Amino acid sequence: MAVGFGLFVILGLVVVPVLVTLLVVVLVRRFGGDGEASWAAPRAAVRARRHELLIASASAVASLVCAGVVLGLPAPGAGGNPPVPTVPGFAQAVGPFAAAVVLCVVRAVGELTWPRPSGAVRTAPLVRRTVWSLGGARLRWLLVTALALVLALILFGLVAGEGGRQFDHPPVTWPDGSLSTSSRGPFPGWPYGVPLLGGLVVSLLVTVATLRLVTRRSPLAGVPARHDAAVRRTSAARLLGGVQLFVGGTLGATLWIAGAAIRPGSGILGGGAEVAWLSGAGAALMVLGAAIGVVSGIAGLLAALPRHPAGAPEPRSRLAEGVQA
Amino acid sequence: MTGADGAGRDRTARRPAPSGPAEPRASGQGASGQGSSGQGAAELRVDLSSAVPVYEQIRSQVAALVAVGALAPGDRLPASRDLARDLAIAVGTVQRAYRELEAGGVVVSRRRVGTVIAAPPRGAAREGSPAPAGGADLLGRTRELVRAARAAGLSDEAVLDMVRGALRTGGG
Repeated sequence: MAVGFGLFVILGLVVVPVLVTLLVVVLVRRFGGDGEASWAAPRAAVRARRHELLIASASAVASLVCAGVVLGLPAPGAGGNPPVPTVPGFAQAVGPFAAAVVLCVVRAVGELTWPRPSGAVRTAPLVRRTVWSLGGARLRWLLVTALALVLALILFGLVAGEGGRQFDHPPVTWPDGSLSTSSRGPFPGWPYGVPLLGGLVVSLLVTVATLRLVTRRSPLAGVPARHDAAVRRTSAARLLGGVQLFVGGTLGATLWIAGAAIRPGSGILGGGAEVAWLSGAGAALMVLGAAIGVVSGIAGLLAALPRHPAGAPEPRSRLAEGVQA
Repeated sequence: MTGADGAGRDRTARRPAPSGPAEPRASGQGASGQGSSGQGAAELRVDLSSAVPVYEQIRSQVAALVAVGALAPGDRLPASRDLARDLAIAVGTVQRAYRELEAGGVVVSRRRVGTVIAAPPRGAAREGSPAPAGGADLLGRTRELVRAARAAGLSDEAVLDMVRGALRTGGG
């Protein structure tokens, strides 16, 4: 059994991620328009983009492995020893933020592997680079998403039922005078909200610190300024896109779960106006959560595409060439 | 590719020097010099093996970029720490260059804003800016001189030697 477990660890946590990383690198280079011919880029710029692609792939795979490990942790009632026995699904709730932190940490380590300026002749652009200018719209959207998550968690914490893990529907008085009460869970009240808020803060701080590393990276020797800037923008976009995927996904899941709990059960659904509006509100939250999750996923995937140097023609990917042929 | 706007600033790209240590470059169209995209960003080039001190190379290149309009009043220069990191040189070297530029009226340093290109004083010439009268014409002629010299196969150092010689002999 020990041998089997060890084999699982080696295969699942080492061999498979490395193979997936290499496969992603090969596929993106082959089909993603990142080849030398499509950019008409100097050789040094091509090498720089390959290095960036390797860093991005490693950080993405590491974060996915982390997410997989966290999702695989035992939940209460399923046997084993869950991290927080009194809060079911705690690990799964904060798992996305753990994955986001891993994404940033691996990216930060990768940023330290870029070569430092050397040689007698050195160049530097007279451009003031800041985290805010490099982050651009992606950083703003990430902060908007984070703010929405904060507001949602505060709201759900305030309206949660006793214990914070369920939503108590308003009592329904039937025509015969009987009274029905119901509650539904799981619901993202304070037992989940506080750790989620903490995880969000940590994720954002690590993201900004990593983005700062990208901003402060020295220009690459032998790489023209606009190509160097394109590589930098690509690094920032992939970092922010990955974090957006996790933060947006968490917001989407939180809204979905809250909406599902808010919707009244069939037992009191016919209980009149007191609960009728809850059905619509719950459904709206679920739809909104699904939409946010999908959009965040798409944004995260689009961020993986490399950025053009300013003024460069559109790169033609071999996939596009194959379709046209 | 060439053109001068009404303010007398030509925002074309300069061809990089074929050799020699300290040639500033303005790449792309216009040089707002700002933003992280790299488009239109002026570029510094220093040669650590040159006899010219690095701080002087930085100072003269920034002054030259201001003279040709690649850096405009209000453009913010990188923080001295950031530029030193980019060039992998000592922070004090960049700070000295900025101090010299400020002493020459080319830049001003403000708290929370950093180092910005100074507006030229009214009616007075300053280091790095052409005289107000006929400024656009002088700049255009200077560019013509550079084009003609390069077409004739002269190196940038040879052109600079010619200009220094003309300055010494009073241009006569």
